[in-house]
Amino acid sequence: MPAIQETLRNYLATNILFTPEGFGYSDEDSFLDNGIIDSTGVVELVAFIEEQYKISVEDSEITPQNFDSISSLADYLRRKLQ
Amino acid sequence: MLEYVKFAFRLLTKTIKEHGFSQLLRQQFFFNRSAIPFSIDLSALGFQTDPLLELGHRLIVLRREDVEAERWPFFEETRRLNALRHFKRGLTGFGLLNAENVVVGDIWCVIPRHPQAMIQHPDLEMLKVACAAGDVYAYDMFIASDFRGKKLAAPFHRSLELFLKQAGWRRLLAYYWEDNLPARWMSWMLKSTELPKVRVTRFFLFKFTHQAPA
Repeated sequence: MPAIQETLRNYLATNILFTPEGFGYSDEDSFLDNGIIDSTGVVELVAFIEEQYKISVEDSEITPQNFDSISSLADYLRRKLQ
Repeated sequence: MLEYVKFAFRLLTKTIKEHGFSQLLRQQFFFNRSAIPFSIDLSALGFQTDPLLELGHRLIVLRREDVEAERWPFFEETRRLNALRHFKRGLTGFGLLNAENVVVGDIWCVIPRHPQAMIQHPDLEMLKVACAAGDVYAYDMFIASDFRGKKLAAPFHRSLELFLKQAGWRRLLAYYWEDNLPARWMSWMLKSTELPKVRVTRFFLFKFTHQAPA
C-alpha cells in the first residue's frame, strides 16, 4: 500500500490540479495560501479520503490544522486510522 | 411584481430540478443552524493587482440599465432576474465576466450612500454584527455551476475587495453557514477574521437568532 502522502499527491495532481506532471509542491506547502484546493475541491477531497480510507470525516475535523497541506492531512489520516 | 413571480418560479423549479425537493425545504425550515459572520480589513490586503485578470476574467459593476438592456448576457437567466430584484432593493451588484463577455457569476453589496453613513440590512441584524462607517456588506455570491471548480471564487472575491478598497471603503462584512464547507474553505482562503457565530432558526419568512455560546 503506497504511503499516504504519495496517494494524496497523486490524487491532487490528477483530480484537482489536472496535471500529468505530478504534484508540483512540497508536502508542507499550504493548500489555502497557494490556492491548490479551492472551495469546491475541498468537497471532492473529503469525499476521496472517506472512500479511500473508509473513514467518516466530521465537520469539526475539517480545519486548516488538519487539511492545509499534504503533511497535515497525512498526520490527520494516521490519527484517524489508528 | 411580475418580475418577482417569474424569478421565484424559475428559482423554485431550478432548485427542485438540481437538488430535489428536500433541499428546497431545507432552505426554508431549519433549527439552530450556525452562521459565521466574518470581516476583511480592506486596508490590509496583501495584493495590489486584480487576480482575475491573469485568469482571463474581469470584475464589472452591474448597472441596472445594462442588465435591463441585456448588455451583458447572463449565463443563468435566474441570476439576471435576481439582479433586477436586487436593484429594486438598492443593492450594488458586481459581475464575474468571462473572456466571452458572459456574466458567469455575481455578488451583491450593501454600500453606504456616503463615507460616513452606516449600512443597514436585515442580515446584519440577524448576525448581530456592529457596523461602523466605511463598512460594506457583501452577500449572495454565485458562480454558475458550469464554472465552479475552476478556481474562480476566491479571485472573484479578492477582485471585489480590491475594487472596494480603491473606492475608499475600509471593511468588508459577510457570512457563511457553518455547514457550507465550500464557503467555510473560501473564508479561510480569504484570510478573513471570524466574528462571533450566531444560531438561526428559520420557518419560511420568519427567522429567530441568538448568539451561540463561545
